This record gives sequence, C-alpha cells and structure tokens, in this order.
Amino acid sequence: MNQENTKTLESPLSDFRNEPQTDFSLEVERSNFSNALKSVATHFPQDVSIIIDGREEMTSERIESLDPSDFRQIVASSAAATSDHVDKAVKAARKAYPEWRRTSPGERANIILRAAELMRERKHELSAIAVREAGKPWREADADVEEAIDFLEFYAREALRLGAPRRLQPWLLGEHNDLVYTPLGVVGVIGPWNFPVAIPTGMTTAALAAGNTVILKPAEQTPLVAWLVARIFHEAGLPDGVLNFLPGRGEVCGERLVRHPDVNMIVFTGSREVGLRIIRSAAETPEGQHFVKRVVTEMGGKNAIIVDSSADLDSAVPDILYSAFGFSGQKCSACSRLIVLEDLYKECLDRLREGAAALKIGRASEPSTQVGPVIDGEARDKILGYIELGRKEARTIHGGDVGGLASEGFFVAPHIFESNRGDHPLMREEIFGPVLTVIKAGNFSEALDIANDTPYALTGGVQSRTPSNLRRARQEFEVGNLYLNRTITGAIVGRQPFGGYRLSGIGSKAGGPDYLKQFMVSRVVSENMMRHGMASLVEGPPDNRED
Amino acid sequence: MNTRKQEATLERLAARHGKRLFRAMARHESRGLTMDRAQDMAMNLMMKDEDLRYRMLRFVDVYPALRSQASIAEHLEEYLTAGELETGVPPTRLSDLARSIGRHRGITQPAIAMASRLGIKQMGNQFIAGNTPGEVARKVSKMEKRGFLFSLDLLGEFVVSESQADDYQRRYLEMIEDFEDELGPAPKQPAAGPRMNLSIKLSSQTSKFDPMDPEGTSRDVRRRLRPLFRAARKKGAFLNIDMEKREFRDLTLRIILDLLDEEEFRGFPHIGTVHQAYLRDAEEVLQGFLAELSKRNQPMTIRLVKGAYWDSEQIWARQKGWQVPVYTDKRETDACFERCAEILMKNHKVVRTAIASHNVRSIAWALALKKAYDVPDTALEFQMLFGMAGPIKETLRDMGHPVRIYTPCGELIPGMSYLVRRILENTSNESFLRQRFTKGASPMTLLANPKLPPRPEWAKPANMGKGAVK
Ligand SMILES: Cc1cc2nc3c(=O)[nH]c(=O)nc-3n(C[C@H](O)[C@H](O)[C@H](O)COP(=O)(O)OP(=O)(O)OC[C@H]3O[C@@H](n4cnc5c(N)ncnc54)[C@H](O)[C@@H]3O)c2cc1C
Repeated sequence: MNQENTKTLESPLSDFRNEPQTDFSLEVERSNFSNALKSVATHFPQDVSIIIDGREEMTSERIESLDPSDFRQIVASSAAATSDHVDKAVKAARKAYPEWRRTSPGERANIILRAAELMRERKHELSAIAVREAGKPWREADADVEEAIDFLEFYAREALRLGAPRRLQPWLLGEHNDLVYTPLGVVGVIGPWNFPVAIPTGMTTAALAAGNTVILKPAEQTPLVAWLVARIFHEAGLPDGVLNFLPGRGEVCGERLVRHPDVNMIVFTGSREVGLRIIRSAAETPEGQHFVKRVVTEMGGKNAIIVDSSADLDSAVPDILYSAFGFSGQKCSACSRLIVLEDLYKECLDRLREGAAALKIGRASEPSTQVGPVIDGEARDKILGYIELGRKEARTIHGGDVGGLASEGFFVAPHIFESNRGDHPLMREEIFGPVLTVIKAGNFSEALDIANDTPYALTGGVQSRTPSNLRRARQEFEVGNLYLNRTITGAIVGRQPFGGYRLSGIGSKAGGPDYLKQFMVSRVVSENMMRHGMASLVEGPPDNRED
Repeated sequence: MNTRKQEATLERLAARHGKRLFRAMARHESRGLTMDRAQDMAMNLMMKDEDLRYRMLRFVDVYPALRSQASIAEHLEEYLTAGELETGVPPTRLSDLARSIGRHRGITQPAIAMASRLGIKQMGNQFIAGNTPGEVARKVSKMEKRGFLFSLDLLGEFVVSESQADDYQRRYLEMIEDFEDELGPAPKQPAAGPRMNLSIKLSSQTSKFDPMDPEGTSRDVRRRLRPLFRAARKKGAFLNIDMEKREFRDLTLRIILDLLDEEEFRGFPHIGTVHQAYLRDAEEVLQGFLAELSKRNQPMTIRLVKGAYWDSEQIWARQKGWQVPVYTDKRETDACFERCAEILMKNHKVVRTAIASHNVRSIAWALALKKAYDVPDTALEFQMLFGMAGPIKETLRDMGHPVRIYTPCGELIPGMSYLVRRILENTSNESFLRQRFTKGASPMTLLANPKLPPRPEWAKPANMGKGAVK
C-alpha cells in the first residue's frame, strides 16, 4: 500500500462541528463587525489580480465590481482573464497535479484545515466584503463565511475518510481487495455571486481535498471576496499551481475553461441556461482528450411552500417571508411559489401582506436592514420586468416601494402576487428576486400536484400539523431538500447536505457524504495473498466504512 | 456397535501404549524438533508470532526466484518491514534488523544473502531428501540400514501442460524401473509389501484435473497410469495414490476404482491410497469406499492422515462461499482420525492400514486398536515424513512395528509448496510436534482423549495448563 496514503495528521481529528454563528446580540460582536466594515472600505477600490502558478498578474482590461447598495462605490477593480490566461492556468494546474496527487490525504487535509483557521481569524473581514460586494445583509454575509469554514472542515475530514484504502470483505482469506479513490486531474470551478464565499470555497475545497488541482473562476460581480479566499489557500501552504485564480468574463474565460481539452471536470453553480450549455459541451471529446469531462452543476429552482389548513400561521408566516425575501430572494433555495389551502387562504394572505409591509428595506451594511439590494442593474431590471408582468396579469397582494434608495443602489421592493394559473410565467420561471406568487389549492393532493408541476426539484416546504400530510410530503414532494415546518433556505453543511435534481442540477449533495467522491474515481486493487497454499488465517479488522 | 465397556477398555489400552511410547522416546529425545539447532531456532522464532511466521514464510517462498545477493537482502528487508501484510500488525521485532540491512547495504547484503541461502537450504535439506534419485538413493539406503521402509515422492511443478504431465509420468516410470537397483541389497525388514514404494499425485498425470469433468479426467489420468501400473506389476513395486485438496478427493477415489475395474488391473494387490480425517464427511466416505473394495474383493492399503491442506481449504471455502469442509477444532480432527482408524482396523480383512501421523496419542490409539481387534502384524504399518519426529520413528521401530518414511525427492523451486506445507505444519500452534518439543506440553496433556470435551481450566493441575492445546 502506498505509504504516503496512510499518513495522517499528528493528532486525530475531532468530529466535525459547524462553525458557530456570530452572536450579534453581543455588543462586542456588533462593534467588531462595524469596524470590519469600516476597515475594508478604506481599501476600495481594491485591485484583484489573476493568480497562476502562485504568481499574481494584472491585465489592462478591468472589470469593476460595484457595491449593490451604493453603486457609486467601486469595490474592486479586477483583472479580466483572457483565453490565453486560461491556457496558462490549465498548464500550471496540470504541472502541479502529479505532486499534489501524491501528497497524502492527511497533508492535504492539514493545509485545508489551516485555511479554515485563517478564515476564522478573518471572518468579519470576509463577511464585511461580502456585505459590500454582494449586497448581503450582516447575518447573511456572516452565514456565508461560516458555511465556507464548514466546507473546509467537512471536506478535510472527508478526504481522510475516503483517502484510506478500504478493505472489502476483510473476512475473505487469501485475497486482499482494496477500494481506493484517486483524483481526476484538473478541475475548473465556476462560482456564483450569491454565496461568493461559501460556494467557491466549497467547490474548490472538495476538488483540492480529493487531490485535484483547480482553476477557480469567480463570478464577475464578486471577484474580491473570491480572491481573498484564493490567497488564504496559498497562505495556508497550498503549493503553487495547485489553485489558480482567474477572474474574468464568463463568455471569454469561462467558455475556454469549459472547452479546454486538458480540464477533467467542471463544477458549476449558476443559471440553468449556462449550466445546460456546460453539460452539452462537456460531452464533446476533441482529438487527444482521453476522457469524458465530468460535470457537476447546481442550476436553481422554483421552490414552493405548501401551507395546509392545520398550519400554525404564527410560525409559518415569518418562515415564508424569510424564505422568499431573505437576501432579496437571491438564493437558489428561496421560496418563489406559495400554495395555500382554501380554508386558511384568506387569513394567510392577510398576515403575509402585513408581514411583507413591515420588512425593512435598506443598505446591506445597515444592521437594521432585512431586505437589501439585488446584485446588479441587469438583475434589477429583469426582476422589475416580472413585477410589471405581475401587475398586469395577476392580482397584487403586496407591492412595496424602495423610495429614494432607487437612486443609490439596485433596490427592488418585495412583491407578492396572486395567480390562479399554475402555468403563468410567475409560477414557472426563476426570477431570482423578492417576488412571491401565491396560488390557492382545494386540498393537499392538489397542492402537491401544483408544487411538483415544475421542471425543477431543489427545495420545498410544508407548513402543516397533520401527520398524514407531512408523511405524504416526505414521499411525494419532489425536491432535493424538503423542509417541514421551517424555512426552506439556509442548509447547513453536514446537517442538510444540499442539492437538487431534475433541471435543478446534476451531481450529489454539497456538504454531504457523496460530494467528494464526484471529484474522484474509484479503483479496486485485488491482490492474491496465497503463496503455495499459504496465507495468513488472521482476518482483517471489520470494514466499518460507508462510502 | 461400540459398547461403553469396549470404549473404556480401548481408552485404557491407548493410555498405556501412550505412556510406554513416551517413556521409550525419552531415550531418543535429546534432540529437538528437527535435527539441527539453527533450524530449531528459526522455527522457534516463527512460532513466536503469527505475523512474523507469515512474513518469513513469504520470504522463503520467493527465495528460489531471487537471482542476486542484493535482491535477496532487499526482499528480506521488504518482507520484514512492509507496513501491513495481512494481520495489520506493524512489524516490531525485526524491523530494526531490517533497517540496519538498509543502512549498511554494501557490507550487510552479502552476509544477509549468505545467511538466507544457508537457512533456506538447511530447511530444504531438513524436509527434502535430495535433488536427484542418486542422492535420494544414498539417503534411503541409510534409512533402510536403520530399519526403516520408504515411500518415494517426486516433487514437481503444478502440471498445466500435457508435456509436463508426460514428463511427470516418465519420471515416475524411471523411478519404478530403476530406483531399487540403485539401492544396495535389501536388508531384513518387517513384512509390509514390496520394498519399492512410490507415492503418486493424480493431478500430475493430466493438464486438466477437473472434478467437473470426471469422465474425461478419469480417461486422461488412466491413460498415463496404465504404463505405471504395468511397470509396477512387472517390478513388484507398490503404488500409493496420494490425496490432495478436498475438491479432488471424490474424483481421485473414482479414478482408482475405474482403473481397478479394468480387466488387466483387477485385483492388483500393491496399491494404496490416502484418507484425510480432517474432512467433516471423512467417516461416511471411508465406509463407502470400503464397501466398494469389499464388493470387488480388492486388496488395498489405506494411509490414514489428518490432512495437509488445512489452511488452504479454509481460504478456498471462504472465497467461494462454501461451507468450510474441514474441522476447525483440532480435537475434532484428532477424534475423527481415531474413529476412522477404528473403522479401518475393524476391517483388517478388507484393507491394510497405514497410520500416518507424528502424534503419539494418535499412534497409541492405533496400537490399542491393533490389540483390541487382533489386527495381524502384516495389516498395520506406521508412516512418517522425512525429517520429522525422529524419536517417535525410532521408538516404533524398536518396538518392531513397520515404519515407513515418506521421502520427497526434487529441487527446491518445484518443491516449494511441499516445503511450505511442512513449515506451516511444524510451526502451527496446533501441531503435536510443536506442543511436545517446543512448548513442552506434558505427556498427560498430549495423551488426552480427543473424543472427550477438554478438561476445564480449574480441573487441570497447575503445571499442566501451560501450553496445553486450546
Ligand atoms: C507418511 C505421510 C503421508 C502423508 N500423505 C498425505 C496426503 O497424501 N495427503 C494429505 O493431505 N496429507 C498427507 N500427510 C500429511 C498429514 O495430513 C498431516 O498434515 C501431518 O501428518 C500432520 O499430522 P499429525 O497427525 O502428524 O500431527 P498433529 O499435530 O496431530 O495434527 C496436525 C493436523 O491437524 C489438523 N489441524 C490443524 N489445526 C487444526 C484445527 N484448528 N482444526 C482442525 N484440524 C486442525 C491438520 O490436518 C494438521 O495437519 C501425510 C503425512 C504422512 C506422515
């Protein structure tokens, strides 16, 4: 057996525990966070460079990322990688691969855990940048960084778990059968802006932990926070070339990365349109490419919450409001369809209306803000288009106003529409903004039918105190993550492994036991241990590992 | 059939014979397990722990294939230090030694190679009588002069081609025709059939010994056996058909009967085969085979053994998902051996019995049966392996019993599986010889009736508990 593979950390790792949330009820945490917000702002606009083979590089062309709460503020001025940069980065990643693959899972985990430590130290700094660069309110930004730390801690442990060869059927004598996982090669990571810390960190960490080398292309809107993540990895001791960082435009460098014949895998989180395009192009095997590209994509949802007649509106309404309007509805897990049974319909709508009207809209950096801006002008205009459509073709239950904020940032007020058509665009298309559409259902079966009548299957929720309905939902509600009597966003690593199916994506759940395996191939080595009828009759220890 | 009274009488007799054997053996016992002190030390080392034993055996196994001093030293180092072989136990005791081999390559390698060569050669010499028929003939002559009989065994590779099978047949034939001439004039010996005695493995007589195709296999094997039996008849030699793995047993017995059913070999008197008592269905199969013999009025010598493939049988069965065909408690094997011995001796008009064991209790039980069933001297002999259990052989010979020594002949490489079997057997925790000569178990413990449950710990005298069979 490979000696290096069995090397572990100096001291055994503790069990995985989630990073605690910042307790903003404490004065000290609030003031730390405010200070972080102030201190990061002094560096704006911050230059963001390309990192290839450990060397930073700027380009004359720049991409500017703006503060969505205050679009006069340029947060970062980022290099714009060209397809030549992609080629160079792939070459560097390829060169670094053999050594990184040979590095034991224990050593890889060590580096990743060091990165987690660094991230913990700079937690507020990273959150503060996410507040400014992505327009995330405090708690959302804080949770983003905590999730990133969780991914680091979780996948480091997964690397150790899967890194040790697994002896299959150890009671078998005279033959050793070992299942081992080996990495794929070079992985292209294409990240989204909505979880600008957690998701790029998670996808990158999984690829690295598995022994792959990586090219990370962050979203155009949030290069700065991703650049800090890349630098943290280097600071933690990642060898040059193992992680290459390529900020740039999707059409230019994303496209090249996806088609590059020396990239073994693409991991993507983003829109369905781009995701499907990546899947299509990955099927091509140009001359000299001796593998089929592996693709993992997370492509959104049109998530529904069902409220049945037995629901407790005291808790259902806040859950719905948070699921629909938290981070302005810009989570792929967000609720955009609400299905309410007749008996409770009117009461539920009334309470929602009141609740929505009370939501405080404001800059993400204000601690009082409940609904911040959306990411950019393009997003704002698209959402406003849907709101226009709603005003015309549906009944408006609630339609807020952002007032003077409209001239400062990309603000959109939460809207609730009522539709009686399940096939209306409001009920079908992913808006990715603070727009909720409500529909009435005659009974629970009908509610389930409406909920399932969508090409997506990501998250879903049921508010009910009827056990048989909850039981049915478990079986029939077609979603990757089903939440009963709670919010439907905010999945936690290790606790709620996250991911959907149907057109919501391909691949297994992030933060779960199957995720890391997607970045590896399994191999089985069988060795006959019999020599002239002789073999030890001592059985190996029982195989307790689950893969 | 067997009344309780008879049983008690037999048990008393066996105990008496056992004690007598032990007393007589004391005279020959100044020697250790083998004939050689360095050998004993190597063997003792291997017995100390299962992991080390296994590592050493693997090294012995690969040794003949190693061509240079450096590769011998390197392999020894690797086998002794490899993190995990099978047991998952990290090597402790010998890793320092192995590391020092690594450190002083230039100086130590030749020394290590030499030591290994000597050690393995000695082990080979211990259990294999010689490379060539000439060498073996000299050893056999000496054995005969000391009053022992012999059965020759030709070591060879596992047969996978027809030309190998032809080659094997030719070597058997040469042995039958010429070996006796290489020995001097026959010394006076107890009456136990022809002087020339050859042990044959049927799997060597075809390239595809396949129990799934009994007809075809029987046809092929008999085609090669006929010239051997004709030669044996002409020269007056005895042919024994050895028993191999369990999968081959039924087919082996069938081929023997098929051959004896051929007109020209009907009633051929100088034929024998082997019965393995470690198989769970041993008694049943033995009864069935004896019935076939009586039906044909066919004389036969049956060598009763415990079975030499115990480790392998377990492994094969587990790999194939079959029930393990062998007993897994040593006492069950010993008990079955005693029951089979009784079946054989009761039928002494039908068969001659050869008790092939180094275990004093098993032998004592056979002596008790001989007396109880009035078995004539000519219907019972004892057999032991070359290089093993010297004191027991000599004691039985002194008591006037025929003692035949199974004498392997051949090179180390093709003989490796035989050598490995012997080392496995001699270093096994369950082995009688090891219990007696290495662990110093008392005669009382060693003579305990295997058919009874073991004495509970509290009932054992304090000094006897040590090293008793578990
Ligand atoms: C002359 C001669 C010819 C032989 N020919 C053959 C042959 O043709 N085919 C063949 O298979 N063998 C043959 N053998 C080998 C024989 O089967 C034994 O392996 C060997 O003699 C050791 O048995 P023992 O009675 O001397 O020693 P003991 O120490 O009393 O018994 C050892 C034997 O007990 C059995 N045993 C060990 N551990 C266990 C356990 N945990 N549970 C149950 N049983 C166990 C094994 O069979 C082992 O060999 C021959 C032996 C002799 C002496």
